[in-house]
Amino acid sequence: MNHFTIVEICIYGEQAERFFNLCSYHNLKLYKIRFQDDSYYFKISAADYFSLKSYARKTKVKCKIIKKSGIYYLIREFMKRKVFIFLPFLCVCILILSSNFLWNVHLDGNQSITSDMVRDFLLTEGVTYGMSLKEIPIQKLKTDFRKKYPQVTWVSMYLEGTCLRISIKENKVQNPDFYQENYYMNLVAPVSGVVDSVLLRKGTLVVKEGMTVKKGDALILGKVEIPAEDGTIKSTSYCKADGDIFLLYEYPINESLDLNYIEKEYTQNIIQKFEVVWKEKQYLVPLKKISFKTYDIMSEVIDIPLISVLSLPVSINRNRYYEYNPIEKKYSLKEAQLILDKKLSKILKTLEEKGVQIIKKNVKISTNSVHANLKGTLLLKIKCDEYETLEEDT
Amino acid sequence: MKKNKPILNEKIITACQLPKDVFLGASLISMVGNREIAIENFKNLIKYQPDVIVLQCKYFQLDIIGTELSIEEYTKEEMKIKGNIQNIKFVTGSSL
Repeated sequence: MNHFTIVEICIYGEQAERFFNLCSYHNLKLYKIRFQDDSYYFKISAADYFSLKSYARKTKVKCKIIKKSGIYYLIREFMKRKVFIFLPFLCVCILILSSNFLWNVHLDGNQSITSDMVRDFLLTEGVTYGMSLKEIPIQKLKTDFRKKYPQVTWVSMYLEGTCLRISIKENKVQNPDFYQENYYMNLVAPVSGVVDSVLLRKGTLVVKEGMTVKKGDALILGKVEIPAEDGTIKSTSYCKADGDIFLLYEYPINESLDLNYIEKEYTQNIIQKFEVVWKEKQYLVPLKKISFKTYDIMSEVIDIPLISVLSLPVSINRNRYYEYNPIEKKYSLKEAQLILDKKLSKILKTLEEKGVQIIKKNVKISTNSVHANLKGTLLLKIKCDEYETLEEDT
Repeated sequence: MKKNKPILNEKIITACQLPKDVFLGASLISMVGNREIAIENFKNLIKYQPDVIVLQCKYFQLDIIGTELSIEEYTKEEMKIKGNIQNIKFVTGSSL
């Protein structure tokens, strides 16, 4: 169908079928022919309409135009309201203008560097949303980024539309030379505790079984002094301290549970509202306040293709507000005990996953009218595997 | 002798593996479920009502019976009909 000019026509008369046959015989294309209230309605392009009249006269049917549609008539209608003509041009102008500014930053390949860290870095470099794309010093940003984050082995920054794409590769080992054999290191205590067992392989042992050490104290030194026959130090050699040292230490546990809690009884009242997020500020549409006293919000980001393609800092959320009545309830002693038991078993499980041996449990649950408390200590056995670098004496 | 001519033609065209719609003017009818039907190689429209559309083809008359029938497109070559099609009837010369 020619969408430029379309007219809807109504015909009535006895020889309507003959009229249609004549039209098709003369290569006129008829669309959407329907019969309604003893009349036939159909659509035809405006150019063909003028040749219809002779066939109508021949078949003695009467025809009249019901509706004019199509782009031509739409534009002609818009010509009456001159503002409408400028609106598309204005939209295109705004689109072209806004495509010269930075509206989004996309980070890719990061592991330890968070997006907040990158945002702070860009802010310190003077790169903000809405700044001109030409003003972004990409080469300088790359070198500064490498300087600030030495764990980054490779960084790529480029502009894609209005989006600044940052791709980075981090080294999995924080410092690659750190664990090399020719580095001199001391074995240190990761926590404060009592030395349980000692096995030395390389280095100078400075602790004994039963000795109390503090966190960060050296247990095996990487510096080995070789004595001469007269008792003086003949020479000093350096190595990476090696040995198995186990520490016993007390792990405090202090968990508290409020016996009074609020249970949500949801009414079936739901309000749906849209939210426009512009530069991290939220604007509700419509602006009317939520009439519920207590409610839960479920927010869903609506993906609008134009916004995502242009990477504009605008997003539209669909918020659903679920009303609920808060009901004050109280845990019974058994329930509270069960919850705290679960918490304790969760702590024990995470400790076991870390490879810590649990020697003794001394944890008690006490309750009063308001709270249930889980207090006590765990006696743990931990293997020391923390090192500190050792500077060689000159 | 004249009656046998179309049959003879059909036999020759079948033997030569030629398209029958081109050489015999046979109608091509294609349907999409019971909601849409497209007819090619028809002569003219005999009757159009919302419950029946009658088309004249070369060798038969085609009655499309249903409800809410509308002609989506009507050109010299093709007619597309939409609606709730219930029955399609071929009325040949002997039964006319």
